[in-house]
Amino acid sequence: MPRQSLGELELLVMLALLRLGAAAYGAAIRAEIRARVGRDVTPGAIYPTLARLEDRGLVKSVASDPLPERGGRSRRVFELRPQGLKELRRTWRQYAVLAHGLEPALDPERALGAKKP
Amino acid sequence: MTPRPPLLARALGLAIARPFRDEVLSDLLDDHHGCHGRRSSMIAAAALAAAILRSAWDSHRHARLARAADHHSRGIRMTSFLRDLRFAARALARVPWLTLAALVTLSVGLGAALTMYVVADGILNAPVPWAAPDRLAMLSSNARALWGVRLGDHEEVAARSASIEAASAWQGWQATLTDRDGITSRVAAASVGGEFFRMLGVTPALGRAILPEDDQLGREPVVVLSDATWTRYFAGDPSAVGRSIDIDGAPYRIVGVMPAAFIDPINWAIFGNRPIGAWRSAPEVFDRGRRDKTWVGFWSVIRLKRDVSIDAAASEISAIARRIQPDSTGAPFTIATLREANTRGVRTTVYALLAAVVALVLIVCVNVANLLIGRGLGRKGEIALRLALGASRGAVIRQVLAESAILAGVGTGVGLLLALGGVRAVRAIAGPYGLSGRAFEFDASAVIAAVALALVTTLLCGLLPAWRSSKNDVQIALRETGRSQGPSRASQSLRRLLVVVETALACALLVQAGLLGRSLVNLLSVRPGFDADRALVTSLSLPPVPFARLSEQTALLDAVFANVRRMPGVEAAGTITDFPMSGAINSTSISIVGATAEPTQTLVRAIDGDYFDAVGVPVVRGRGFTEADRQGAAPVALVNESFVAKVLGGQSALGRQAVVRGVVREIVGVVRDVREFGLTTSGDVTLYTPYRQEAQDWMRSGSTLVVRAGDDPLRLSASLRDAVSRAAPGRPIGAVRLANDYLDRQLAVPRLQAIVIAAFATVSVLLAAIGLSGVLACAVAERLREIAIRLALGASRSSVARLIVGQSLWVTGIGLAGGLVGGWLLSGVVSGLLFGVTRTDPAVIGGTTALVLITALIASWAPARRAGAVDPMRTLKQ
Repeated sequence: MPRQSLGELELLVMLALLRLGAAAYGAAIRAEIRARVGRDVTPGAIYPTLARLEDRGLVKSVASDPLPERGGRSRRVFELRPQGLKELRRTWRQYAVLAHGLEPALDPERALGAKKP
Repeated sequence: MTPRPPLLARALGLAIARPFRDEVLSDLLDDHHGCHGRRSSMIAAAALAAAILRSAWDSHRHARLARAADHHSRGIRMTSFLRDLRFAARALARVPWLTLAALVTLSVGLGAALTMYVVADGILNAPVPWAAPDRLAMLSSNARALWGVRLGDHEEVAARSASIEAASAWQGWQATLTDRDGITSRVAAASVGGEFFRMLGVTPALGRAILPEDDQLGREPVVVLSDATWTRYFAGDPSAVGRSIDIDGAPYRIVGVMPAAFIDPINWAIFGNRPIGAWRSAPEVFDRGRRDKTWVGFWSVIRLKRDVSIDAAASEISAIARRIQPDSTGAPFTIATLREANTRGVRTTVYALLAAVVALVLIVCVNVANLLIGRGLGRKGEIALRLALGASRGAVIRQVLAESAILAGVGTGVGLLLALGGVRAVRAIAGPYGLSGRAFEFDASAVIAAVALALVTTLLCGLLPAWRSSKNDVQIALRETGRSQGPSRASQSLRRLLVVVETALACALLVQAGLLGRSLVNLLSVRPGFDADRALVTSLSLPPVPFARLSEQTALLDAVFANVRRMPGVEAAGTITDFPMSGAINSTSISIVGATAEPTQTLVRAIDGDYFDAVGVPVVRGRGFTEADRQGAAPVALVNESFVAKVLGGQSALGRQAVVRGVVREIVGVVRDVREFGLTTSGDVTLYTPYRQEAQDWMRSGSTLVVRAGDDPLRLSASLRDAVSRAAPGRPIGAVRLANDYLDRQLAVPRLQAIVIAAFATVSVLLAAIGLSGVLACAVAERLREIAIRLALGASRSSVARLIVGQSLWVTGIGLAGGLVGGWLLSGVVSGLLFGVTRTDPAVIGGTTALVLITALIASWAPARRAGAVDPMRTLKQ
């Protein structure tokens, strides 16, 4: 099976999952992306992406205990699988290798700031 | 305040891709609840709506992305079979009309076939409520298959035969049951011996069966009720067992109730829709049967030993019968398995319809094959290209087979749906054909049959075109494609052969339709011997009293007649024990005083009132019965014309004396014959006695009331009920029917046969016409160049058109010849259903020939016109 690199939204979702730790609701992932990146990703985009990651074995979902205040409806929490972490590392390494030495071009503000006395 | 977000959200939420809908919607609603406090409700609702729509858009986009990624990664693993199917589906979608034609043909054909399969299965393999039913057989006297036997003969055979394990005789009649409130009604009942239930291997649902010890004279009379009788008289109360019920005026103790599923072997065969409601012990009936050698009213069922075949048993029993009745010629018994005896009436019909179905399915397959071959011809170039590019023959065959697999699969699916509807329709109309008790269910076998049909269809329709396509020589095919010509002789003659087969099958079906249609016409023109249009018929129950108390019955009858005759529009009223075509037999041996001839089996009917006037049967000689022919007066009788011809050898009947059940009666008149057992049989010997001189109690306990109306008889039915209930309170009459209904019941099955076969024949002729016209169109398209050359060299347009028509007639003629022969062979199946028409009826053959030839001319009209309209210049330049 040919390996497929992670798409942009997939990368964002997986990084958010890593950041959130143990397990997270879809809504929490959205909130994390909005807070960090400032991008408003709709739930309509989040869930198909999570489903795709789950199909690829990178993420797993578990039904959480029913929430009392929501009329007992159970929701799903998502978690990074070890395979997912490996994939995330691989993708990140690709970016890192390719980006090595390009920091001034890719992130001028920080690069310049570092050189400033 | 929230402006009803759930409803709005739910409505808009339908736009979200289904797998994610709930989760996405619930998150959006959470968002909405989190912020609606800060905004006005309208704006909040609008924002929610916008968010939902945006999410919906995203969900579809991302779901599609996911699918695309899936396909990318799975594409390589997808089996080549699935790929073939997908490819075939796309190929079929490119030729929608051909696909539609093939699908419609397949699904209609398979739908009809499945429907008939379920119906045939329901009729021929109906579950029977007896143990080991295949070893049960029925003996009947040879004179008429549904006539009973002498009890003495039955017992002789049972005692002497080595192939019989158990045997039981019983006697059926219409009993009068009286309940606690004194209300009586008529129920079909049977007098049985103690071995009856044990031989059938059935046990009652409640209480006990009738046992051998009940057979001894002087024992307490006992009765076993059917579930229906028990429900009707005792409302299903289990304490009914042990109580008593009056049968024909005598008390019987109820000892058991049969389960609802139990069917008496005879009611199944003879009484049709009148299930037997009570079985009584009746040693005196059997005693009388043993002594009265003239009484053939016993049904005889035997259980064969385990390893004995029905044929072996039949020949053994015939031999025994010849020994006990040395004077009779041939076998005095017919023997048939119970299953066969019980489906005798419909079996031939079912086989005929199955034959029609098989023919139709063959036509369907041939037609689809024809369509697919035609298509294969059109894409020879494409296939040649694929072969040239390295596709294996197997791959090409697989792909073409996949196309027919799709057609067969979809066709079977739709056909199954059609069959569901068809079976439902059959269930709805089954009542009048005496099949209402049959369960027409789809079961595993029907589904297996459907799958088998699909497989056969796939192979039949797919193999030929696939084989043809892959045999193409690549170079020739490519060259021919380049010239846009390619009259392959082999493929054309194959298609012509298919059309010949189709025409032959359609023609064979047409012959059957013609024969059955003519039979129906003949049946419709049969006169039943009585005036059925104006006679109303209903059942009347009378108090079951001995002959000494006859006046109780006659007083009641007189009151009924007086009331009924007073009704406006009534011309005559009378009663008879058994109305013609009601299925009752009631016969006895009658001898003529002073004659040396053998006693003759004769139907006996007791009549009262103006019966003959009511049914419109004329007295042709002598006189009818009068009021003087009553109890105590000299016994008299009337006979029909067949009696005069067969029993008296055509001599004058008046004044002759007949011995009827021990009574010497003077024949005082002769009446016209009436068809007693249906329209197809005539000449039954019948003798009528006056009701008021009938010493047999059971002949008087119930009657059929017949009323002749001046006009519009059915208008009288309600007032007839009133008139009878005023004269005889507590004796409700049965359903009031027009005498014509009895005739209609006789005609229902032949009418259905003719209609169904004609429908099959019509469909098959249409299919054959489609096939023929397709082949001709293809032939014209392939011969355009040749036709153009002929025209350029001076041939006239009409001669070119004649060429095509000639080809059509040539193909049709061969099919017609084969079809007429096939039709003659097939008519062997329906010969039992024919009436007044021979299998080689010239009108049917002529009509079929004309119809097929005219259809062929119509089918060739469009292709011939096209051939005649070819422009030689343009065609040759191309």
